[in-house]
Amino acid sequence: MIILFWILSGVFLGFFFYFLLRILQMRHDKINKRWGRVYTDNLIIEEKTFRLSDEIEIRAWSYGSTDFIDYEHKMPGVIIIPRRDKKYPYFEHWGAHFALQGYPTLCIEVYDKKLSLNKFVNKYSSILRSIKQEFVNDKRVDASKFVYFGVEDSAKVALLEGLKDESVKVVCGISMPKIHSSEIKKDLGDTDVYLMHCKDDEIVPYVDFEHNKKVLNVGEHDFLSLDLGGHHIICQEPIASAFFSILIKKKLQPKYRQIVRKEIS
Amino acid sequence: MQIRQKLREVNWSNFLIKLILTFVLFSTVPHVLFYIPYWLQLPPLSLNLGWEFNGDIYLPSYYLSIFYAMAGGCFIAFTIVRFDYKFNRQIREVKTEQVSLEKIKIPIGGGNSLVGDLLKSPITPKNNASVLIMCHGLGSKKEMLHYLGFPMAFMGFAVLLYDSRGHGETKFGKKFDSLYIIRDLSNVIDYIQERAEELGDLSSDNIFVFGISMGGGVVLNEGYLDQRVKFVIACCSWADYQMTATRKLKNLSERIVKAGYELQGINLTPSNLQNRLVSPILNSFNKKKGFFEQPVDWRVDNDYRVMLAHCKDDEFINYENFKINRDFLKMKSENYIVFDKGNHTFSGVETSLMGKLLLWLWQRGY
Repeated sequence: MIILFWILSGVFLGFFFYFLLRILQMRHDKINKRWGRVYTDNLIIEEKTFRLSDEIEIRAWSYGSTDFIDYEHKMPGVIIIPRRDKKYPYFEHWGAHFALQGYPTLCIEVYDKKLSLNKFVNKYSSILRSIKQEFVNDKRVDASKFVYFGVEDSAKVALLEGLKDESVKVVCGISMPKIHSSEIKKDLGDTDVYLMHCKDDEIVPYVDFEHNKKVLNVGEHDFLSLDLGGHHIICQEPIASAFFSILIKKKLQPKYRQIVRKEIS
Repeated sequence: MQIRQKLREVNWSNFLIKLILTFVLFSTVPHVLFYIPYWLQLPPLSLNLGWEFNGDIYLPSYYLSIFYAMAGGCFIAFTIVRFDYKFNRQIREVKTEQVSLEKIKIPIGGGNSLVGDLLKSPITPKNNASVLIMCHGLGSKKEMLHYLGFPMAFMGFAVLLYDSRGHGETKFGKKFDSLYIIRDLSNVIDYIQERAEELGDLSSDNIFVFGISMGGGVVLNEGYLDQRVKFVIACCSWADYQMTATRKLKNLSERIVKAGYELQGINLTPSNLQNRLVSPILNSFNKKKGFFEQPVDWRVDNDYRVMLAHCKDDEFINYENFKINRDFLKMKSENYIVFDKGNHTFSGVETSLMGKLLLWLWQRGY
């Protein structure tokens, strides 16, 4: 009979530890795994592999909207360089956000935690340049207008590379590290830089954001500063994405098919 | 007294009573069963079952009881944390000096008023600004929609969010006053009209309404009927309240959701008449308010005026509702978005929803 005790005890303790582990996992995931695949029929997603040399192979995901299949106008291309500590599909939501507005969008996976910031920026700047040259061939893309969108360290890649390229009209940076004035040319030309930062960022201090604003001559309405969210802008992603989208639309003036009210008889 | 009052407000349906009884059974009966071997070993039966530790015949039953309670307690904690994990995405407040927040009081008659926030950004015109009214869900509050409202302010809207009666800072009424909550939207629009005339900062010609969950029900009923409203955007809203409330529940999660609502006093077994008053497919679609405020038939350009969004795995308002709304309004695919995952709060697809919403507005000249 005592064997029944051991079996039941095993079952109950098993359940106990299973639920305990799940609780701990959910508490962790709530902050660290907030984003994943975006499943919707409105999106066209395609995985791409860019073989840039014998050693470098980069995975990227291209996003488009089903609302724009027969669209006669070419649209500005958006290239997203996400956080370098996250793999696909953590950044898919950024791609989906821009693609659903009609922008042909490419998200590049830059998972590379070990490199120092400088080495990371150097390596991925040249990669971004090569990938962009191929992205230009996408028949949906207006080759004269590009948006580079970078998050955290990758924002620096987007900025430094974007400022060198005349077809890049907008660079968006979230929680961007400090930029030294020597790293960029004085005249930014026709390129607008939009920045976003949270005041409680514990990795890139807010003073660095203020510094970047000055160095990059960011316009009065071209930055978003939020009180909370930290370095990874937790819970502020929809605000940041919409804020940038509004500015991008204002700057690039993409043509949207207008839907007007039909007369009611 | 407060507990008695709360208990009186609970909607004691057969479903809720059955669920509570099941819970009581699962938390008591097994403990009794664990002690049966112990009792059988006691006189007068004095059976020798080998149910003992070091000669103590009480300990195995005692330990089993404790282990079972631990597993049960952990399961309850897991259920609570899982709900929080799935539905409470907004774990950081939205605050910025770039958006001004004006606290407002919206009078709705009888000396009562709804508390609201009026958000404006530097882009929002000083005069005649288009107004976006945002309606929150049941048991929620206006702050939970700030993550959608703030960006809309940057788009140039004056964003008006308010706490429905029984919710948030609005301290009168009950959460389950569904019909009044729906009708209050009309008073909010009246407030905008009056303010537009007095102060001129808001436009009474460009009023948009946006709602999530119960808020979706509010805007699809009252907002849709009101011709002063230019656009109606409803996320995870119901089509037929009765069908939603009395549907066959798929899993434990849905049962807990239903029990939670009934514990708050929500009527989930509405009569046909009650259902008619709060279900858009019966109450408002393809209608407008008539001379006596009653719904009368109206030919509406739904493609221009209405946007819907829903997630297929919604455990609160099942996906069937979206399909009914979509088919009823004969909507083209470009006027709605459906996500396979995201549940009731568009969890993990908020940025995508925002992308689609912006496109929808831009295609209408905003």
